[in-house]
Amino acid sequence: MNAIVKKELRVYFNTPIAWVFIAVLMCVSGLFFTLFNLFMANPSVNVIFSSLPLVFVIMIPLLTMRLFSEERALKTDQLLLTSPISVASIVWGKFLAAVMVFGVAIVLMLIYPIILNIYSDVSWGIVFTNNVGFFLLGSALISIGIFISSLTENQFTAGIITIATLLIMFLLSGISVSSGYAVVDKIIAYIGILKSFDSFYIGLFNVVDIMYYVSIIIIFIMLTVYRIERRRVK
Amino acid sequence: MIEVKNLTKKYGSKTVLNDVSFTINQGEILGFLGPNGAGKSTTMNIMTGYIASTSGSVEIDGIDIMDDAKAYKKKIGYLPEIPPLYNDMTVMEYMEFVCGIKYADPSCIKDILEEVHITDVKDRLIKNLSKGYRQRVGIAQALVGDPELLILDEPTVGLDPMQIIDIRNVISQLGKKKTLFISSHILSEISAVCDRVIIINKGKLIAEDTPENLAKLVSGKNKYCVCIEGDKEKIEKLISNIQGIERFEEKTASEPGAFEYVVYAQNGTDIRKTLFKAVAGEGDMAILMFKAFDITLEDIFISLTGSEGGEEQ
Repeated sequence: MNAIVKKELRVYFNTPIAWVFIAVLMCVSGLFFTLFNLFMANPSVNVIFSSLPLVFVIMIPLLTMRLFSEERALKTDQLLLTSPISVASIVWGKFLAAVMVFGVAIVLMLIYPIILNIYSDVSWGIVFTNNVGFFLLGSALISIGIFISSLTENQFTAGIITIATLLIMFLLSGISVSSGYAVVDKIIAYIGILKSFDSFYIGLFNVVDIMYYVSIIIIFIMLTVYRIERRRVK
Repeated sequence: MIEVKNLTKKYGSKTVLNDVSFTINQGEILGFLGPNGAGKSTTMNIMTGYIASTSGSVEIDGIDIMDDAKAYKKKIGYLPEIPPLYNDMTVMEYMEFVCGIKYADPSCIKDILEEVHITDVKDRLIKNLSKGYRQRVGIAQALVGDPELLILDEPTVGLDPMQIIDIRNVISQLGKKKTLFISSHILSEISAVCDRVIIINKGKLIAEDTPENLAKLVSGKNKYCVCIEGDKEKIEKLISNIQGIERFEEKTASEPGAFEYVVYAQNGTDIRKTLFKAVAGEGDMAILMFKAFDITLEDIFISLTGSEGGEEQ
């Protein structure tokens, strides 16, 4: 799996992908920081985190869209799938590499509370829970993007489908559906991926919310593995 | 050593491989011959674990891919028809990556690069390499992990004549140490390096023999190209009177005053001496060119199937 992680990180940083991803997140978060913290003299950093997830709708597909689709298009999947490495290791390797790039952006964003701490008292507990929540949310979205990338060999198609999927999941987070069927309501509530971020936002570690994101990650990684194995058999 | 048993592959209702069985012995160079679309790549993709068969099995030293995929795949090095290369990596970075996914010690890279003569380009980006070098890098990745069996899918396709000779030399060298399974749709390509040949057509094995024996299958159907200087009418009368000649067709002559013909001999008849002496006996005629046509894959197909091989959709 290390070989896959190293290879993907090399691609991310040898091409503009990682740099653009990190630069856009830093620019947008920097803008929010300037507008909502510096101009408004507000020491609470979670205003940045509350606005940023929407940027993910555009940015996460940039990280994930090529991961499997490009391998198929270039036929390099023939090397991966005929090597002794398992499909699960390949998928986890690609996932970890994308999460690491995302992690770099999260670490860089710690600059904002550090700056605020010079002029006021920052609640580090809230900073910490927001960062962990942000990281889990981003990782869950990455796992969804990877799964979609395994569905097609056209990376732009993968990118557009990922944007549409994430947009729907974000929109469903803001509404409470009452269809009359408990199962349907539960499914829609489960799809609304931003709801579980609320507890992190207010400074709480809720095991249910942590498990929610972890379950999304595991489900979509397993679906990706299944999808690749299934394609071999078809 | 490698046993392919009753492989069948269906895509929906279309059967692309139909009950294919053969064995590859240790140390052997086995050629896999067939027209485009015959099922060569499908067979190879199944043997390497890239796709699964609908039914049938492949075993290497008694290990089935379904039982122990990791151990099975360690025994195989595969060069697909399009070498699976990452263009933005240098050759060295690529080889290190391949070592990682094949659980091989990177110390083997130096020897492999020397073996396929690409040490001088090890720090160059793969996208900047010529097609011949890219093919060699593809062979180099197949050698990582010291696999017992090398499967090479059309290793010389798309190369220029010099590159073909280069790759053929590399393959011949590898054949001294490894078991090789090489596919091609060109008979001369296979007969140049292989001990034994299997032929596939429309998803079915139709022959399995040495290149020499396969050539014998069509030896009774020799055809010759002859260019004779002289009077056209007299030449044609002379040829049609020679015993053993079944028929002849006129071709466009390349020299003024000469006439070129494709001459078909009857089964088992060697007409070379008779034709030569007949022309020599005529004072006003001279043979300017006389050659046997090479036996082609097409000839073997016609001989084996009684129909044109052709491409399958």
